[in-house]
Amino acid sequence: MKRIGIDVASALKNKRLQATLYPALQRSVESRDAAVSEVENWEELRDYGRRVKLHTLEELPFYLERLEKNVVGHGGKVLWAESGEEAVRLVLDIARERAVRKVVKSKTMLGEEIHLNQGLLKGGLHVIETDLGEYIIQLCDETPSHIVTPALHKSRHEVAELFEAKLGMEPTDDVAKLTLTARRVLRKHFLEADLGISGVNFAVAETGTIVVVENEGNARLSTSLPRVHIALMGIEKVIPRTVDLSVCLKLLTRSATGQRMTSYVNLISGPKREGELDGPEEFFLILVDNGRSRIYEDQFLRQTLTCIRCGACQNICPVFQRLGGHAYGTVYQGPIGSILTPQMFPIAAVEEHPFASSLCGACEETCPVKIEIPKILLRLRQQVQEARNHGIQRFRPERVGMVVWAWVVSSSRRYEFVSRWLRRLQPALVRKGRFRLAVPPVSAWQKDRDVPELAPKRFREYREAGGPEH
Amino acid sequence: MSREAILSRLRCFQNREPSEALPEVVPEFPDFDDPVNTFKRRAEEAGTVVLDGQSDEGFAAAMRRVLEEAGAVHLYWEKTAIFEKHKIPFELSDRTHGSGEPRVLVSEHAKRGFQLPVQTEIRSLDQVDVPGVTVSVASAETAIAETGTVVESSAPAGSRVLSVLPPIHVVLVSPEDVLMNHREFFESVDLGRRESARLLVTGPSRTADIEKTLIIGVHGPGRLFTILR
Repeated sequence: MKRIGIDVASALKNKRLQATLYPALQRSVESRDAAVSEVENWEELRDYGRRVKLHTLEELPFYLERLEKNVVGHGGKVLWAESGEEAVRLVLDIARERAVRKVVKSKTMLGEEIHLNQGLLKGGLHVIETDLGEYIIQLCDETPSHIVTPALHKSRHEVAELFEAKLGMEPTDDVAKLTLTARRVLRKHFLEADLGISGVNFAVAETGTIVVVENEGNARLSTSLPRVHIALMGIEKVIPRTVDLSVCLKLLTRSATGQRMTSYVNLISGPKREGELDGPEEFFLILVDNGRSRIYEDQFLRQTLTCIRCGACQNICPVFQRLGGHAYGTVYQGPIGSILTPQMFPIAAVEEHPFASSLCGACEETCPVKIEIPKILLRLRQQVQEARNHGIQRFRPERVGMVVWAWVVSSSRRYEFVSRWLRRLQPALVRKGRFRLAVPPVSAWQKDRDVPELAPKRFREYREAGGPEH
Repeated sequence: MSREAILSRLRCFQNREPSEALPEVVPEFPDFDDPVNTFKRRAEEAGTVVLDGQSDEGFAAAMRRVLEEAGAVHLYWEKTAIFEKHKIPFELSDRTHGSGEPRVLVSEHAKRGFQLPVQTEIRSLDQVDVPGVTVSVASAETAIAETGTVVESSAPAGSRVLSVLPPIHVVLVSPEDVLMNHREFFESVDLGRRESARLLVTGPSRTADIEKTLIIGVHGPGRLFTILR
């Protein structure tokens, strides 16, 4: 089992990242706030969205079978995959049987999760990402750093350098020119591809319709031009009724990009019908579990699966705002990633992630389906601790320190006594405004934590003296 | 195999007690005094150019504007049913074609009536090389005032790609087809009964993937016109 740690240090040192990241996320937060503030009954919509998703989860087998039946009724084929490897194998089998050579993909986080591109490349297929952000990421062989805007960590200069090197483009800093170049290059691939792969934002059980939300038009092209369309969907994406879409779409688009509605919403019910002028001859829907039913087991943690992947919790998270997505080392990052990843995979592999949060609660407040992320983080921290202890309460210095600290702060007399002594000892312990104690285990504890020096006087002393002197 | 494994595992974890019920009442969506006007305003806010073509003169002027902007050579009507639905006075008698180059659809009469640029050809879609299209014209099944959205259906005899391949896309909207909001739309629509694909279109193609900078016209059209007709 490979352990994945959080690389805080290199993210903070990366000047380019720090310059690009925060302003971009801040813009997302602002446009989301503006779009939400014009909706009078936003809270009611959130409650509805949450209840619909929770209900669907509780009756998940029923709705999945219903969805399957209706997709088949439209002439589509439905396949099921227990794991990511199985899903990749299913796609490869479909491609091989139909002599597919070129594949165009529109954005799918599930595809990232199961490493679809690598699998298809190994299988000898030519795979091209068509979402602009994903295309940039693919060209430089990186991974997405955000659920909605995968190339968020790239500055325009980096993209320009990349296009210059890979596409032979003239040097430019003009984002419009960069975008048009991508359009030109990708258009050719669209027209040549035999297979289009898309993700799924929602799937309506009662009608057998998959919903793909996008802004660029690449999903429409990927799902319409090639002769075969494969849609990949996590089993938690199903919703019961068409009318539920009205609320779910409103929650998603306003939370994700701050738009009333994205430029395109594709509602796809099977392959091309008789009399229609274009569209794929075959349509496949692959339902992927890949660890989701494990999350399903716990009735409290299950709400993790109601996530609609809007990315709003990433945009607003003070930790994510400083680190960006890559520091997490996982496909799903930020608050949602820190609850999703440890539950989908062995928790010991990502045991740092539930701790990568200040528990400020901004994520839960912004979440369109009200996932109780901080509570779930706490529960997962507990699990990590239990796994570390293997059920035995071992002696741990941190634990002793915390017990002592709790004893101190639970009485004002003890607290006063200790803080008075700390102030007196402070000149010997503080360097550059920070407590530094080179005695293990305190030194180890301080490695990742700043303990600032105490103010010269206690607040109470200031107040009694009639406020601070300056 | 996997199907049964997944389903039985989920069943095994399901609640024994009655569960969270499916909410019966869908929350309120906004209503508007003048939905057509709201549609127009919100479509414009999303980057759509809305033109009034309710009179024949208005329609001719609107089409002229589109064609001039495009410097259009090819104007593709998605399907001939549009002519009937929107009462467009083109002569349709010679729209059938044999093999080879699709024949020009517009009669001399229609050309005069609309004062189209001389080089304009209007072709049927059945045999077109869609990638070379400059302007495509489709008809909205419905439109939604709340978000300035138009809805295109692939049935009957419709196209999916025509709404995104050309650099300029035109959608004709009948004012009486404008719905108030998304709840009204999704309550009334019967997804997948006749069509394989519906597309909600709200403004031109866009991206903000590089530094969150908004760019119009990525893979889809950079210009979206709706003509009220």
